[in-house]
Amino acid sequence: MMQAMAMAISEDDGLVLAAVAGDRAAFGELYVRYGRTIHGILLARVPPKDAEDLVQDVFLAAMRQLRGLRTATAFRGWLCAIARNRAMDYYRRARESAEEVPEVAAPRGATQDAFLVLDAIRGLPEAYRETLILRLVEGMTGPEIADRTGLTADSVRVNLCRGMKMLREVLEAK
Amino acid sequence: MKDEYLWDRSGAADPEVERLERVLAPLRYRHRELQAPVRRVGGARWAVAAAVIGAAAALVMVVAPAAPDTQWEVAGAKLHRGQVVRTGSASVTLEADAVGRVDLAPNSELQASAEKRLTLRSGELHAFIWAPARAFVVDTPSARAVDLGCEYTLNVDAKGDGLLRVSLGWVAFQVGDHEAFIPAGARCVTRKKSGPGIPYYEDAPAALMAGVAALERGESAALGGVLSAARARDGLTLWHLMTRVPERDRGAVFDRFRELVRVPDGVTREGVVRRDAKMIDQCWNALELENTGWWRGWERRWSE
Repeated sequence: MMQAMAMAISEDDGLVLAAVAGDRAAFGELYVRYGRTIHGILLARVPPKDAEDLVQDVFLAAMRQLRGLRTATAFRGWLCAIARNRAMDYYRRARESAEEVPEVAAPRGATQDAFLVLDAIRGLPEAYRETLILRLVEGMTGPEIADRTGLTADSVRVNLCRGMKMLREVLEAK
Repeated sequence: MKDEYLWDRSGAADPEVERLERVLAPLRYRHRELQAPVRRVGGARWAVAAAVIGAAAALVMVVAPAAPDTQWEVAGAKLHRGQVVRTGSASVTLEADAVGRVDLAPNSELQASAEKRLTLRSGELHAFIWAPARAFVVDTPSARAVDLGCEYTLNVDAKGDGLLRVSLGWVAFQVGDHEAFIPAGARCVTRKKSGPGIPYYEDAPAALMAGVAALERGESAALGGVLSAARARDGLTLWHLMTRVPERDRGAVFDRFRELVRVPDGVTREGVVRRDAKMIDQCWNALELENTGWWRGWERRWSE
């Protein structure tokens, strides 16, 4: 597993280098590889109906500012930072335009249960929230989450275990 | 092991985890092509910066012999600890893969003071940082700028005074027990003698900006003008004033803050006047600038 992860990071390095040099296909591949991660980070903060649009915003911003990055290690942290900042901007802009940001939207086939659970996860401390969404919503494994976010495997494991324990307690109390 | 299914789906399935996966599956990301028109990678700004790096006349690097490398590079060359970069008529770009990117403007002087830390002695830098919050620090003669996940511009003038403008995320400005939290869209001055000033939004009313400047010059009579000019959004400025003004003025600042910002039950004028740490925290949370979980680790001296 770890060997496969190391290979994936090495492949990402190549894609980042190619994308920096202007290779649109390489950037497209990075978009495919990191789309779920960025969506999960956004979903931990913004309503589901807007998360997918913001994924596009994040990658377009990344494409404009990509020059200068040389490794996947830098790319993933940088991309995740852009996503978190975009989510902050989302609420700032909503406040400035006095728009009401709906907490619940109505996406494809999601049941009321899905929103209740999502709401419960979003009420957890931030470290647990992001990791649990990547695991339970985006379907990533712990090693994949560590690989894509730059967190250590130990941190991801702790976040998953403690976060899941808190989530069970919250859901049982509802 | 009990949590192996949660970790990597190995081992016996945990029924509750499986149920949650099923329930949440409709919210999962569905890939779609990038739709907006795409410009060529790399904006003009970076192209110009890259070209400038090659212009030797623009850059003087004073080498500190035998010093260890920092994480920072200029045009592919590692900066050593203690090494000074001075720009001439053009800017240069510093990069650190695990930290971020810093553009140093023309006529500026900067020192790579530690592995990740920089010291801006004079001039201007623009930082875009992707390292974890608090990992990147810029020292100036009058305060320390601690990155809390963001993009910002920092100026230091010949006297050692500074100005910080935040474009994305947050920066904390700190010297000793004096600090300011500056969110995106806000700015804050810092002075060699008095440290970080009071942050305010760049779109704040002119009367508020003038009043803050007067207060920072020691003109306490300007407080009334600041309070009357403040909008709800300027609760940021009023919150900082609450932690800075003398006790005799603190109640008046809180009164205006409470008019503009909905503070939770239990936060009292008397408590704020005596600088009750919990109530001051609650006032900050009432600003709803960001979920506070991420910055609770930050050392906040006003509570001491």
